[in-house]
Amino acid sequence: MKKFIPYILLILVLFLPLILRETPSIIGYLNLVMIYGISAQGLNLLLGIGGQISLGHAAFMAIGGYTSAIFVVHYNFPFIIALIISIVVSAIFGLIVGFPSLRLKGFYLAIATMALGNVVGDVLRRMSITGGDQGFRNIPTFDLFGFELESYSSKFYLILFFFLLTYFISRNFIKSKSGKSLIAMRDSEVGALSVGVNISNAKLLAFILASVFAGLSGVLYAHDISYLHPSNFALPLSINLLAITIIGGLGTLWGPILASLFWIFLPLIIGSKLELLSSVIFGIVVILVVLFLPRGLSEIIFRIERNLKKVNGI
Amino acid sequence: MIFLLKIENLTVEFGNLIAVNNFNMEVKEGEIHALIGPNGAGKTTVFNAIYNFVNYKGNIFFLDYNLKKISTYNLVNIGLSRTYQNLSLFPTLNVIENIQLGLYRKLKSNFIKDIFGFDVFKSKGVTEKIQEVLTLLNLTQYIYYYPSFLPYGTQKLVELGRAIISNPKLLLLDEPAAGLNTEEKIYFREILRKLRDKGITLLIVEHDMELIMDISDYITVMSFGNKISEGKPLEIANDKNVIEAYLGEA
Ligand SMILES: Nc1ncnc2c1ncn2[C@@H]1O[C@H](COP(=O)(O)OP(=O)(O)OP(=O)(O)O)[C@@H](O)[C@H]1O
Ligand SMILES: [Mg+2]
Repeated sequence: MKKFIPYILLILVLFLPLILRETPSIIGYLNLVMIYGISAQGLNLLLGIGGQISLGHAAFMAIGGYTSAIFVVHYNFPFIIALIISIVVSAIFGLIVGFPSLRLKGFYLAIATMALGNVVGDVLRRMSITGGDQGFRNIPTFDLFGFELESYSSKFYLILFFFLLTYFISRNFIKSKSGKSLIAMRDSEVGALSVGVNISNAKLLAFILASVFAGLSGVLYAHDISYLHPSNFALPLSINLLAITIIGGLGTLWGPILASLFWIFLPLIIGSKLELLSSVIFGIVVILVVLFLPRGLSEIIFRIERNLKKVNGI
Repeated sequence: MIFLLKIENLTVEFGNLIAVNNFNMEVKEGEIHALIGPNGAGKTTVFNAIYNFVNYKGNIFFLDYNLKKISTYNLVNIGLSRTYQNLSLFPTLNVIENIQLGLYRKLKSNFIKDIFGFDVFKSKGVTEKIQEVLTLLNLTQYIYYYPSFLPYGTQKLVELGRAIISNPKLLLLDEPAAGLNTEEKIYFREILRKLRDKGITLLIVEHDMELIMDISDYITVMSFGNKISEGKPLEIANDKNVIEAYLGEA
């Protein structure tokens, strides 16, 4: 029984655009949930698995989004090629941002990554190719070999594809030798060193992965929303992504998606007029989770799993 | 090569404190060598110098390598391994995952294999190797436990397992018997002998004199950073300097 649950869920998800065809805007929000979920998954690998903090994660998204927008709009590159270029650029950028982590820890690393994030914002604001402070307008939607994805639900399937891809990459990575080397580094640096983990490489790998995930998320955001502005990727988003990663449950695979679901839908449920109330609730939930749920919202998934095991008598 | 490890004029200073003072020591291949001395004598600091965790004057040679020139994370590749006075296990990984990581440098993987879920720790020959260590240390029943749920003595065995699975030539153990009960100590003594019989040279820092006198082939004694004596167990037991150093502590 338990074996089939992920497949049943997946089929349900595949049919969501049909189920929700009367309310396509919900699909639009779900697209955002997945986009931010991918980004948070990257931060989860960095912080939850590698133990390295970043307060500049949103800047990685900006790098991916702007790179793709520039290549598609200004150089007429096909979306797929622009996507690949953006991933490479994000990886290089992640490597650069990772260097301070070789010397800095904790608060100091947080400050350094925040500063780098600000620099990205300032540069984007001043360049003309990015649209500067006007923002980057009229970014075309996803173009897959001539098919332009216009509707929420067609975008949904493309974003879902990348969302599942990053989920499986994370899942396998965490169990792999390199994934465990990051966990080892987070758990005990001297222990990791004595089994032969090159700590510098492990830290850089964590930053590159985080940046690639965020970059991909930024690309999806750019072509989904069709507009980018530096202020959308400033410190507040970095902090929200950090909060999402933490309330989801650091180092858990379901955490980022559950928490970004919560983050996107909370204001909708409460109503846009009560924006302040939803920020307050979000803040309270962050505090409660930090206090009482060490594995964050994914604790819910663990409980369900455990109960299913009981039902099956395992 | 007679000496596996050779420490020449090692001096380690922390500010005004001279933790290790012009210290010399040689560890012969195949022996169980004990490094003893009262609290604060500088024993752990010697280990940390070998591991490049502290700056030092002098030279440390292992085989033909000058260890100053070798990055800490490469030591396992040239045949060095160690445990720590305060455990350094990975608390969020279970027992078998902790031990598997001891093979980190022996197993080759790449990013593509990693993200497609290919588990190098389950590849040919590796499972047997892990099983061998688990059996030797009697840990088979604990493989899915997380370290913090195990008695302290068992956790130490897990750390030992992680250290020996890479087949080191020289194994450094920092107070391996501390915190063990009598039964665990007896068991531990047997394991140390087995390791030596497998050809692993052991350098052990330990306060349990009965254990040390029983298993060591050779003993070096430190006090306040200086070497005050060295020799076979019987010589050390009757050495005036050694007795004084330990009595001075009491
Ligand atoms: N990183 C450090 N910074 C400053 N002082 C240190 C450091 N490490 C050790 N010391 C000091 O150096 C001296 C030697 O310490 P060390 O840990 O080597 O002793 P030890 O012989 O291992 O003692 P014990 O048997 O208690 O473990 C002590 O006075 C200790 O306080
Ligand atoms: Mg010590």
